[in-house]
Amino acid sequence: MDIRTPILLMTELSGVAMVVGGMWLIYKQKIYIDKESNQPVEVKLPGNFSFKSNYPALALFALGFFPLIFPFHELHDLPNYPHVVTVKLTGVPDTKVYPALVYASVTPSAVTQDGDSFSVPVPFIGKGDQEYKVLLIANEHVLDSETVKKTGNGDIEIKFRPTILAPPEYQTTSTPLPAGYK
Amino acid sequence: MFWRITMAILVASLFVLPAHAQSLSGRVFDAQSNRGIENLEVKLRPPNNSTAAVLIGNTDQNGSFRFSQVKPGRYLIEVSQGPYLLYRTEIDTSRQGNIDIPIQRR
Repeated sequence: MDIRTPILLMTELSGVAMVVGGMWLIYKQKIYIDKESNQPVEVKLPGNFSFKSNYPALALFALGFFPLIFPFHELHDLPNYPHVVTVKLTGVPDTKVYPALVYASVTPSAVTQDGDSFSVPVPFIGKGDQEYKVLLIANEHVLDSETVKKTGNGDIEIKFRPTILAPPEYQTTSTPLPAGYK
Repeated sequence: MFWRITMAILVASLFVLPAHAQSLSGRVFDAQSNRGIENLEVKLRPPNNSTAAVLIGNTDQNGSFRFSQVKPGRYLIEVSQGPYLLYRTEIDTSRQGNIDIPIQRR
């Protein structure tokens, strides 16, 4: 279960408790009522300020609406921003070619023929402050790369430049990788 | 008796010594003309459960290539021209030190 769901549930319960509690306090008059005027006790403070004894109950009632409504707003957006736990992929490559770059992708999308589209689900990154580098790779050769930022709430369309390759002089093979190799 | 035991131990030790790195050479050639093809990338890829290194080289003007320091065992040998994969097969370098790779012209 997404850890944010119980947190939002607790927020919702707090809101309900504040609103209901505030209403109960006002209803039960758990406030100091002046016996003569039958009004909440008013305390005069220096600087022409005054404080009525029913203010905390009213404030509790009013402020309770925020945690009451907030979870409904967030629950609506929750599927759009899946919970992401960040882990670091670390290592020391042993290669004599530098600089070498290390990329990681959970689910690369294969494009098998002209006109095929690709779709790569990636974790949400903050709006505009971080970016993804997207690589177009064929037989482990990088044909093109694009850098993209999230700007709106929708999907991000990647427009790779057209790749024009000289056709190979020799027949290509589509022999699949045998089991045990990657 | 002493010498017999000593000899027996020496002979037996030949079979328990760790396998030495060896070399693998080969030639990539046009299957029709038998002419060597230069500037192709040759990759020797060990299986997932192996600790052996990935070896990458290029064919020379005769289509020949050579990898030294190859750990004996199974490998996938691939020949590419840029992003195009031309040849792929599995070999066992403990049994095979040389490979001929014919490539068909389009």
